[in-house]
Amino acid sequence: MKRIILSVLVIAMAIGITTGAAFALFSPTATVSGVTFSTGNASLLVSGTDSGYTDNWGTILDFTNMYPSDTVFQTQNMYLRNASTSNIALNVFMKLASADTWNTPEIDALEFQVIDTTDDYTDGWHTLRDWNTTGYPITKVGNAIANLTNRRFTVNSRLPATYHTTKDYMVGLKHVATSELVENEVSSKSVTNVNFTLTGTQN
Amino acid sequence: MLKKIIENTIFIALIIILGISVSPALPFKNIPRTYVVVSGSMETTIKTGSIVLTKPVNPKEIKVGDIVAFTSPSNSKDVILHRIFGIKSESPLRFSTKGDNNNSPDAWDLMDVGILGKQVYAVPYIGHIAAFVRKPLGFGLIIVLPALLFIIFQILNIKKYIKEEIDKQVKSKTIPLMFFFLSMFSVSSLFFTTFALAKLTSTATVSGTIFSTKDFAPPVTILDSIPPNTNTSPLTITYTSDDSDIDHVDLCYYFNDGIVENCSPNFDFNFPKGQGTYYFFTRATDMAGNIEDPDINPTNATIYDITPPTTNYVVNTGSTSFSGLSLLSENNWTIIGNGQSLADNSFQLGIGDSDSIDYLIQRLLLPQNLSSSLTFSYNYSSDDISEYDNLSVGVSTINSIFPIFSFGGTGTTDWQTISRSLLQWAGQTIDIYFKLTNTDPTYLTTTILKDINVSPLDLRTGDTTPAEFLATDLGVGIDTSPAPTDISIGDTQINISFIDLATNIESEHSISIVTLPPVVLNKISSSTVTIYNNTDSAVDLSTYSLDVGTTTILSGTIPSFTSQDISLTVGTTSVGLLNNSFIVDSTTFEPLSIAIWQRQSDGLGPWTRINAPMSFDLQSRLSQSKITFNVSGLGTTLANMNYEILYTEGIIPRQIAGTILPHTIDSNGTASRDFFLGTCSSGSCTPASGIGSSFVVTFSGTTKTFILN
Repeated sequence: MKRIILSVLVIAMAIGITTGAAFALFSPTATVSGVTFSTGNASLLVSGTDSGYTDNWGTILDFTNMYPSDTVFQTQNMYLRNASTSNIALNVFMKLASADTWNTPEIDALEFQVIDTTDDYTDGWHTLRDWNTTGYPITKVGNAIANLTNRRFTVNSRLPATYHTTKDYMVGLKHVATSELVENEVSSKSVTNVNFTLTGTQN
Repeated sequence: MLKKIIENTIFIALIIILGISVSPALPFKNIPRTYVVVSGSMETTIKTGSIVLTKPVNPKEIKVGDIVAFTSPSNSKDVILHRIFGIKSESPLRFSTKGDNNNSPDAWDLMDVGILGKQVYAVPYIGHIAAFVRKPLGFGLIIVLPALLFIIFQILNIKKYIKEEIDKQVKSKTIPLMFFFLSMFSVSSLFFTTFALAKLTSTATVSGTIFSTKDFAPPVTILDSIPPNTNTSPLTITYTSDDSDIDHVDLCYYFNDGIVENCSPNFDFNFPKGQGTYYFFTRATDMAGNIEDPDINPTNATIYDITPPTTNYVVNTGSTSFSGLSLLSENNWTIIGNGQSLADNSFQLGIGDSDSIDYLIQRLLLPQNLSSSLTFSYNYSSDDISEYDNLSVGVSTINSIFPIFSFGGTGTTDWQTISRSLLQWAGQTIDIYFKLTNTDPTYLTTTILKDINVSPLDLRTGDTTPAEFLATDLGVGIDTSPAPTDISIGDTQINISFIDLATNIESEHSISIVTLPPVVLNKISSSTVTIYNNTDSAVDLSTYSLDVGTTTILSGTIPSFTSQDISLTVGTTSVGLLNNSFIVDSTTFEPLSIAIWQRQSDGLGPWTRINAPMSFDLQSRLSQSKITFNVSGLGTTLANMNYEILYTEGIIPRQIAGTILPHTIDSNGTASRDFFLGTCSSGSCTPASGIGSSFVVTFSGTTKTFILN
């Protein structure tokens, strides 16, 4: 009689465990979701307009005639397309790979920023040197570029206003105030042929 | 039998599932693990759906080309399976990784601590089972179906147990219980199944971007050194610049301490504001249009001065001279208008506000042929809002007024000391006047005057006297002064030229001087030579001699300021006075048979020929109530030059008294005085009536009576 009761209990427990596992796996709030096997290949393409995507965009991303200001900066568009043959979404990481003229102090002065226009996500302003040594994600975790979709980014560059210094301001021979004077060191400088690498990684 | 096979198969399958599933989730690092590869970036090496077996590995032993499983650097929830692409750094140890199927390395740097294991073996397709179990169908087939079978077997068992309960048969119960526990473990392990991502990546390149800053920096120019003083116009000013693209540079200046900025591209500066201080700076504009914020340094200044200094004051440093003696009398000042005498012999003009012009005046006689100078200090203050008021200083003579200094305007000065030569009025009676003009009584204008002094250069003693000269310069100041000059007896002039700091050279001018020995010739007649002691102490004559053709050695002493007659025969037309065989005074003259030669007792003035002895008379001009007193044959050696005229008006005796001053004697030794007999008041005169005809005149001790009609 004991064994009968035991077996009934075992059956009940098996049903319970199975049901629980099913609930854990398939409930909408489950933390562990189904797994998709991804075959095929990833492809991230770039362009300055929402057409003519290429994997090597010889850009017109020219940020010229910059001068010190925190509020005035130059902005341009950059479009990315997830053209993967696999149904994957891509998180994009951007890094400055190389440049022809790479001199201080301008590479520590000029700042660059990428904004994802779908959610206004940005990792913030970083110097060209930091874009080179570190690189930054330009898509937010959880907002990867879905397969076969395009996304517009704005890319901005600026020369921070801290590159102003001050000097005494005179009217006649009388000291009146302290005025702003721009720092000469970063004037008339350029960083040319800068190459950025955009790495789209499967989400 | 079939049931046994089914049971054993399920048993083994569950063990495998358990092994596959649980290994990565176990809280131990150093055990082999398995991962299901769910994406295709490692194809074709590792197909999607493979199960890879990894073993623990020391990161230092990892080589390029090894396939490793690691925690994703970008998302710690992901496990990535990629190939080591390169070793980025040894310390700290960092790798770059790449999927075989990807066209570029991964963007991240892989730290050694993120590495979970090195792939040792991959079994294709099996991973699909682990994924399959997560799908409803897979779950049904792999979990629910065996569980159902198990439950069915258990139900069958229960049926059997019931029968055995009846039959009391005893059979093994091991296997069903083992099934139960294995199932339990397996199912629960599904929660921990780990999937390794061989993540697909793709790289795009943005190339050729240009970042450039414009030329926003204003140019900087620096003036080359500027002379602090100059009299050169145009003055060529130069600058240096650090900017290669300067478009143009302006030379700018402030004049004096003004704030009006004047700029021009002309660097040959011609001092358009005239004399004064110019503060220079440069303002450059570069090709980009940036305008320099000039560095205004007050030391970049020059004083433009084209006015030479003027010598107007002579200081005699001889210790026994009379230099510094003021010819002014402290008590002789006349104040007209609102003025007052202050302590320390100073004066203030312009007290209160009722009078428009205030004077301070003193009359004095300047020594003949001496270089006298006026010095004074003033402190001027005007509250007036317009620059109408001024202080004027000058010399007033009988004939004319000569302003010699003026200062005006608004505001307050510090003490200023002024020095002016009075040489041109030597020998004349002048009025020194200080005149303060206040045009608007509403506003107070006042001036304090002190240290007013008129001092002559007077070299009466000593053979040689050092003299030092002072000059004033209205501009930058004196640079070089002539060295002190020795003035010797017999010198008659000194030439002086000062140079100021702007290299303006004073046009050489001469100062006439008179040098006098202590004892001088005073009067010469055919039988007598009169000498005069010009000093304030007695002089021993034992070293003196007279040369009148023959030499006469003198003896004795001559008292101070006294004449002494030496009797001898003057047989020549020249006389010399010698001291220690050096001629200290001499003169030539016409033969003395009918005349004597005389000059002022102190040795100054021209020699005067006197043809007759002293005589005087009184001429009547009574029709005009006037008389004229004439004296001829006057010499300045007369001890008594006083005159007295006595007459009557009715029964009242009247007296006129006075002194013939030496400078009123003309070169012929004559002097005359007009007298009005009556009373004058406010410019209108009333002749006296009842004048008696008898006039008793006494001059120099001689009395004569004149009857005039």
